[in-house]
Amino acid sequence: MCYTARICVALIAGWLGALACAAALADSPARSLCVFSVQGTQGELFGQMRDFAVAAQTQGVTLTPRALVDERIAAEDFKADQCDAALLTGIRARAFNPFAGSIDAIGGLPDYDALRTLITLLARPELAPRMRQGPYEVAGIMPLGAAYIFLNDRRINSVEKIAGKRLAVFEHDAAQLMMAQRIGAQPVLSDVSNFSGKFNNGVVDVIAAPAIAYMALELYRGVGAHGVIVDMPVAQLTFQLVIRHQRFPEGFGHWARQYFLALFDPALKVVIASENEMLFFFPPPDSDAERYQLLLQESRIALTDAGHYDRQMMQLMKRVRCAHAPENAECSDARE
Amino acid sequence: MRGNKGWLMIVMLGVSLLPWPASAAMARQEAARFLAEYQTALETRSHDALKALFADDVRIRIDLEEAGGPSQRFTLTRARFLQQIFALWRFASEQAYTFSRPQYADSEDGTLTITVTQTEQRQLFGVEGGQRDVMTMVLDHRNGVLQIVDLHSSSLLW
Repeated sequence: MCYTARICVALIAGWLGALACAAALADSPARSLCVFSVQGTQGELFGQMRDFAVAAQTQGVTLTPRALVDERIAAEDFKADQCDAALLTGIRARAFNPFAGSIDAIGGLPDYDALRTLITLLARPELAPRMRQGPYEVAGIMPLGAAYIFLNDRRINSVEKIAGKRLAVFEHDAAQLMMAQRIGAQPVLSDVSNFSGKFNNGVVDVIAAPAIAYMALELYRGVGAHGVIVDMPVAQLTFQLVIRHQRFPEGFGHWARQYFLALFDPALKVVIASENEMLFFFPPPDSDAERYQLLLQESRIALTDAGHYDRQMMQLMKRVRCAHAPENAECSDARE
Repeated sequence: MRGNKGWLMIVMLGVSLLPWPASAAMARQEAARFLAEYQTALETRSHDALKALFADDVRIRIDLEEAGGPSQRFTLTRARFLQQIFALWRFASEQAYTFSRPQYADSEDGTLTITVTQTEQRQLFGVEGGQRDVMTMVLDHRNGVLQIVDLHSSSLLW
């Protein structure tokens, strides 16, 4: 008798719980997430965003991810209020939050340890106000991998020899255009959807790309048997989740940044595996390595002065670089 | 009986104190065995066998020759050097290695040196290619295992 009563109580409690949960879901606002994914709904990235949508239900948000293979359209849809959130590359997200969008600055961070430190810092509540800019908030950052220089000819073995060569630059990143002009390359305006084709078909000689594009976009065809990939990160590329914060519950941004922080290591594992697939992946010559680092630094400072990068983010990144390598010459100057 | 044992001990002690040429011959044998293992690892494309031949702290320098220009020196980490070999195994077909007659040397510090020219022919993205590496490997014992601790190569790719 007592046993049956307990079962009844448990059943009623369970039923009430389910009812409450259903009611909460019914009340939770339906929000859309535009996901820039080269592979569309296939691939790991979109799967991760599906998982994120499931997790967001614990925050009372019903999120529906929608894949867009063209990043420009994803950004424009977000801007035109066609989606409440968007997952974009940091370079594209810079338009919505120059502070977080400047993580992808040229020569910003030398390695993944430094990037992990920075993303961990940015997930702290003290920096939350910096993650908001008007109606937008960067609610998550994950690594896309370092951008490396891909060349179709190993004889282009110095920056000086890039002068006059055709270099693909993203039309939405003025910093790349300025960098191309700085090294004397001939810029060829491109975007994420066509830069690989241009490289593989010899329309351009040089591109900058992350390792995950190597197999996915068959960049090994462009490098061929006589090209090279320079093992020196020119930028740390990221994916950034940008939301219209007023459409989400208070505290959602902080929760999401913590969620994305937990994705850092799994995402990095994919990046490292991609880097391990790259052929003719060599560091710069010993005699040039220091000079190239200096070139990246000079370019970054010039681009910051020109207003392309957020000065406060540049200062924060310098602090991270110097925490990891205090012996660096820049740590005793006040240029950034 | 006791006298025989005494003589035996004296002989054994004498042999162990003879550094040349007995130890040189042993070193040469050890280096030859090591080189054979290296060649087998390449030819059988064994990741684990090849990794085991390189010390964790191995120093690797490549002087890359370019036709018509001065060579450029690259310092590679163990991970990047091995990764490049593994990537070639993945992309290349019809890979064939040949080796010149090696030269062996041993030093008073206990290290062994192998100098050998490795030539690789391959098919890559439909193109016949290859590389020639004039290599000097310095071997030393790490945790009782003979490994490459220093590798210098003058390399030419075509």
